Amino acid sequence: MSIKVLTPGLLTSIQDLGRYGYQKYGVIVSGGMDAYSLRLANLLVGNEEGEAVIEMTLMGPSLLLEEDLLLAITGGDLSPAINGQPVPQGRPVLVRKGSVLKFGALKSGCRSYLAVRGGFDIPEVMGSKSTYLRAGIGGYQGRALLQGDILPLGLACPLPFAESLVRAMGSSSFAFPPWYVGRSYVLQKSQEYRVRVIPNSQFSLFSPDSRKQFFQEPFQVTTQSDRMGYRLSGVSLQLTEPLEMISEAVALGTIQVPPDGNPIILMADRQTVGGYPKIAQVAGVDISTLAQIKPGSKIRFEEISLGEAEELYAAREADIQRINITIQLQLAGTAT
Amino acid sequence: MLTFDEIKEVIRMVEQSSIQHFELEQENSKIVISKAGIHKVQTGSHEGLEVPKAVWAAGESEQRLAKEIPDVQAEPLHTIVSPTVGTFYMASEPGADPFVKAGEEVESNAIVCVLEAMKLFNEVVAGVKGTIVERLVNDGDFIEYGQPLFLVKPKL
Repeated sequence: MSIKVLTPGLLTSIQDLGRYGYQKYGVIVSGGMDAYSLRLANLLVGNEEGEAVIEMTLMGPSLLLEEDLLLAITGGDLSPAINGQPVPQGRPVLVRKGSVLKFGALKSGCRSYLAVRGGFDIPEVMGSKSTYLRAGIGGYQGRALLQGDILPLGLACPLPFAESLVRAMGSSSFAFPPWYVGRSYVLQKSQEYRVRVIPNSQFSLFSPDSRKQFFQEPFQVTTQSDRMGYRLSGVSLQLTEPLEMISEAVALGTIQVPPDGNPIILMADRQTVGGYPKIAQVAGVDISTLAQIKPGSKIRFEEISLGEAEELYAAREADIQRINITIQLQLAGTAT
Repeated sequence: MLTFDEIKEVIRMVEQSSIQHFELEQENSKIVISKAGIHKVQTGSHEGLEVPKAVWAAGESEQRLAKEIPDVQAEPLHTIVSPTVGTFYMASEPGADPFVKAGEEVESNAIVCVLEAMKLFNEVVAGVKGTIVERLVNDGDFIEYGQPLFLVKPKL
């Protein structure tokens, strides 16, 4: 039971929902950048939502599937194809042993997620299978995937639903059901993405002009952006007067502003503490949107209250629970 | 002898299937359901559409209904009905081209729309090879189980 990496793509790594509980020792959280898509991919194949998946970035890998398996692809559209045939995203796909799953041109988004039924049989490090790239721990040998890697798969009982796919498959190399989950959260169509934020601890220390411009002017995601943070360029944000700060905790989506005035949004591989003033905090519900914004795109910040951010978060979680229930019914074969 | 509820159930099942004519004989009772020759009546507005109804009655009802509806065509139209409850969408995502348009020829396995229920999108296939005559519902409408979605002129 394994998947062989024929070509690795640009940055392809094993990620789950992250390594929590060790930030106090300086160990970063890591995990999938677009956690929403990651959870969805797992649910679609009947896994626990936090199982390890393959995260790929901008340019996907080419993988040899050495076993019959049930997989699901979510997130950005990297034109996945099995043996040359386009394969749909957002649904479980049963694939025949020996098939090659190849990702191609980026059509939308920035990151795509591949979950397989049973997950990956790799050891957990500090409670997580996520790859911590800089420290070289977790995931597959602590690094991004390379050509020739052989990823062992976990065991899972076959789903009753898969039997109907076996019949539907016939002589082709894959089959999928007539239902799928939507992609509305991660893929806005506009050229300028809206990101909702809550003013952060040092917001009031920024100059009145900077505070106004922060919400009025667009910022561009630069090519120096990575899994650690999105470096933005646009108007230079300045404090009213210089500030010496003692480093303090930072969170996923914290927007900090170094002295050069260009904000940085901290993402999955963020450091555990930071000493730059924090102008705002991205609402949890928009992190997945952010993770699908590719370098070069523009974003515009919109202020919401903490209460609104909490409501949006709760509504998103309720949505995921609804999706989970519906998918489980489908996978159990009790619905048609 | 069938109970009233059982008869209702039979009617419902036949109505939602592509069966055009159905007969059930049991002891001293007989049910005949025929959909032949019945199709929608256009009354001007979209709301005025009448959904094809299954009729259970003795044999002459078929003829009687045929007389009541003036524009009966020689070939009965196939109705694509909803396999589930959900919100009707003509396209795979907002702004995308609709799956099918009126006048378009479709294969029986062609996807004609999606229905969203509990965040899951269910694809609906034509089920018959032919030409789409009319869409009976609007984008974003909430659809009931068994509700007619499209009329298709089957290709013989």
